[in-house]
Amino acid sequence: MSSYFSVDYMIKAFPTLLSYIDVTIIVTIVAELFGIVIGCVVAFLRIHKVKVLNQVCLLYLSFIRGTPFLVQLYLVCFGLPQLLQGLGYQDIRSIPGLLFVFLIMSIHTGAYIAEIMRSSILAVDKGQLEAAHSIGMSTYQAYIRIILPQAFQLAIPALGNNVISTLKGTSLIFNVGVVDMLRKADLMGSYSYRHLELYVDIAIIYVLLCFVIQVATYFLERRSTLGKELAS
Amino acid sequence: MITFKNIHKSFGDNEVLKGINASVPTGSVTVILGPSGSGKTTLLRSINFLEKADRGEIILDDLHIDVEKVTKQEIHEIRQRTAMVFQSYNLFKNKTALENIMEGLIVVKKISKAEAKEKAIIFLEKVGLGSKGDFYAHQLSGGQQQRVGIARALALNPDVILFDEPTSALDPELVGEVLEVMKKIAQEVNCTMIVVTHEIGFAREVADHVIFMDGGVIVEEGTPEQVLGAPKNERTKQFLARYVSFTEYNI
Ligand SMILES: Nc1ncnc2c1ncn2[C@@H]1O[C@H](COP(=O)(O)OP(=O)(O)OP(=O)(O)O)[C@@H](O)[C@H]1O
Ligand SMILES: [Mg+2]
Repeated sequence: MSSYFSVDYMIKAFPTLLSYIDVTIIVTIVAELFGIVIGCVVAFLRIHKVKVLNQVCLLYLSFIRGTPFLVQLYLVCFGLPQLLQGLGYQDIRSIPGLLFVFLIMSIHTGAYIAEIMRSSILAVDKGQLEAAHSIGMSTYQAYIRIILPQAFQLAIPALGNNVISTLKGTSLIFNVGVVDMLRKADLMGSYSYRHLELYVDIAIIYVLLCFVIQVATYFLERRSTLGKELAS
Repeated sequence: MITFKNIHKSFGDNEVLKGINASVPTGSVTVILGPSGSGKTTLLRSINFLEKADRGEIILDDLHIDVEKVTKQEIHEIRQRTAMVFQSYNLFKNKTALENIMEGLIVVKKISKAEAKEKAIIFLEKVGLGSKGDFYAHQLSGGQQQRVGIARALALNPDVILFDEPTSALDPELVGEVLEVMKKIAQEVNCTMIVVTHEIGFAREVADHVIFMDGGVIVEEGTPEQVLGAPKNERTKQFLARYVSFTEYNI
């Protein structure tokens, strides 16, 4: 049995792989943070049909949703540096590769969050914006203080799902040379020839991470005042 | 003094306001009556530009707005000098009762948080809800929510408060408490009130001036005695006949 599957090796390798979890987590957090900012701005521009920018947003959304993530990853991580070099920026090697990964992950995630935020902003009662306007708040102030906080509460389940897919999406970044858990497993496997154990470890780590996110989502949802209102 | 001159507004082909001319003296209470669809809400909302009228003038003391050429600053200014109480309350759902009142004070009036809180407590007590400061909208009854809505408007010390059917979403037994608060404001606060309502009793008791609208025009206006007691226009008579008998039947 142990020749097919070594539990010992699986357990022994686990901490090593786990120590690479930071790459996955950092990329996910950066992508989500910037993605939320991008998503909110795009959602606003689309809802208020801001001239020109609304069309730009539509183009952006259909590009991101209409191309495979791996293609986007290659475009930005391999194509963009080449373009910069072509434009005369010679110092390209001094830019850490991870920066390009952050960039494309954020842009990618932003497109999906834009759709989530758009529908949850539209789900906020439009009387809320009117009330804010009626007491003299600007649209910007109303969004920051009233509309977005409520939209986020409504969006918690969808955002939770988005964090999970972003997290899983990070498993592709080894393709552009970033050493994450999966790449580490590859490297270790080429020495030990025990890929199966290593990939099982990776699967376990992803399952645990997703579980943590689901639990966090659940508690956030329970804490939200709007959630209580909807439930009551 | 707030004055409307020749206010026109259409939604597509539907001309909802067909040239409204009226004046409301400072500190007075004006009640607007009229059948459903006559344009009462639209008129009220065009004062603070929640709805932008097509043409006409809105004059609030020294602020003279030509609706067609209105600027962002003018909209901002008239919104700062007016406040609105909504039929569906529209309390900020992510804020407590107290925070609802503080919001405008902090963001618009730019006063400190501590000072805003003090002030908000005073206004919450004024509407009889001193103990409900930490409650969210969904934890309050409709009548309580509307009283917070009134306190929120009042706290900003506006020149004019616009009430759009403040009691018509309420259960009948809660109407009284809100009208009571409005009556108190009318007596204690020197602030112009423009009230769209179907509460004829309130109009009779509290209003200085009554405007009757139908089909996008002002059909008749005057003191409550004139308009409610001895209406001249046939449409006013019909409307009142229906409403007064309906209200009295209710009581
Ligand atoms: N946003 C809008 N778009 C299109 N039509 C509208 C809009 N708002 C109001 N209307 C129309 O304008 C007319 C007047 O509406 P308004 O709400 O001002 O009437 P009202 O006098 O307040 O009636 P009620 O007593 O029912 O509240 C109605 O025919 C209504 O259908
Ligand atoms: Mg109305």
